[in-house]
Amino acid sequence: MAITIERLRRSDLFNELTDVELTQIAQLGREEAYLEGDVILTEDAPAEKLFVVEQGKLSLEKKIQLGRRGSVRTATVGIVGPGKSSGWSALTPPHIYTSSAVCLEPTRVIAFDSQALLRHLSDNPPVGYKVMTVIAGLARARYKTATDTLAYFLSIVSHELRAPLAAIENYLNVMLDGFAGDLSDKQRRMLERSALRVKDLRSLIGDIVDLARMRPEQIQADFEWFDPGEVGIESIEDVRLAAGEKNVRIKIEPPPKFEKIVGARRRLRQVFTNLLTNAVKFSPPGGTVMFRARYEPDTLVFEVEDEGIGIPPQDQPHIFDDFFRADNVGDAPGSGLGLSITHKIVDAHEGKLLVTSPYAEGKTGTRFTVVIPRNLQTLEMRRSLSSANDAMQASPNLH
Amino acid sequence: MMHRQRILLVDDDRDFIEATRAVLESVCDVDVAYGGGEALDKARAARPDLILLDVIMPDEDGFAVCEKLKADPALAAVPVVMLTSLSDGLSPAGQAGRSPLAEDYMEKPVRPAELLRRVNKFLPGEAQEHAD
Repeated sequence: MAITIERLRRSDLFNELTDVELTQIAQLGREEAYLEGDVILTEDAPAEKLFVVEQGKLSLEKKIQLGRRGSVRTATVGIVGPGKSSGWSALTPPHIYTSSAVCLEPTRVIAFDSQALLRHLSDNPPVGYKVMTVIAGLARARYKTATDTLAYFLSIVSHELRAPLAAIENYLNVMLDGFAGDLSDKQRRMLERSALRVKDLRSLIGDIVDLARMRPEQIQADFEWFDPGEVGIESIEDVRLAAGEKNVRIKIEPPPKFEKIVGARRRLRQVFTNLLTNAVKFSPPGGTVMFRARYEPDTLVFEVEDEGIGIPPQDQPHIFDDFFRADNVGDAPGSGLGLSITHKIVDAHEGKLLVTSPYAEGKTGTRFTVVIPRNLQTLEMRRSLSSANDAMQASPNLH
Repeated sequence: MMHRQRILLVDDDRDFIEATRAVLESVCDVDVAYGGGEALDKARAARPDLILLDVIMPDEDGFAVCEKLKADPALAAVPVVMLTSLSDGLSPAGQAGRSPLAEDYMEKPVRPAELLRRVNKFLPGEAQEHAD
């Protein structure tokens, strides 16, 4: 059946074109029919065709892997019905499909060869301009849907998943501390294991949410004066259960006296808790984790050192990347987000996060060093400084 | 006569209330309210010695409730400890759990020992001699 301009005009891609322009495009199209279940384009494959659906429905699917070694499954990311187009990657570099399209029912499409269509669009700039403008609009709409979905997803994750977990954790803490009656050793052990698993889950959810709001200015907005010694103690408390479980000892070497510094208090607690959690996680049972702090003239330096498996040299440049997990971590749990978040927090403090592994000859462990400048300013300090500067600039005759 | 002190615990999460109450009852009497409006009514009906107040509640948030408590001459002196989820406290605005009017804040989930330490800070001698 011939491709008429009426058929083309029903599609989202070509409805802005004139009859003359449509007539030319129609010559490039070819009708194709597919059965339910047919895959008409494949994710990651070269994008050689663009389709306009006339009848039936396509399901756009993306591969997702559940877990690092889990099986690959597919997730439906969109449905394309009559009048809609699919396979825009055929017109835009790098010409690789970003999802697969599977027919949900017998489907009739008008198919365009990518090369022929591209050639026609570049030979006829006004047509090319119209079609590419439509594609930009469609891509923008799809991007907006994706980011709106992400924002909604994060809001669900941040409150709706965390609130029940916090309630469970409260009950567990109350039972473990004996406020709901005596526990047998077996009950205590099971509750302790439950508390650990819940805590892991809560921190994973926290990491996922954090990733979305780890911009330096967001962290710097929280800068305040605080006692770093208190934060260190809270972080040790955060990992106490996990350390006890493995009989790992946390040895501290504090400076003679802690002096207050400026920084994002809760975020720095997260830094130390992350580093201590890793140190405990990768320590051998019965091992020791060192947690040191010392003041240098311009900085406050923290070190977390473990006797664990170490980080292979080839992995060290990547350990601060999002979702990175070193080759030798085996089945140790973790999202691969902790160190990336830690790095972002230290960066927002204009500090340094260094890794040394092995940290000494003949040792296997890892040392993380956190260096925080001592001259950071709170938001109020910055504001009053800038208004003082403004005042000086406004009245130069005073000087 | 011994006066057992009284805490008003305010949270819309019944499980949080039940768990927290079990800890608090070891040191004092506990009244509970499941929302902001109910909290104000209960505080006015029986003046507590301390109020533990959740930040996020469906009817009226903890900040607004705290403001009303502090504006009431009969209740202004009652210390208020705000309860925040870690997630609320980490909002970009920062320190969301800290109302300038509240005396203190603490994060959920709470550890019983930490909860009792905070409570004792505001209820010195949890079983004081009544002045009358």
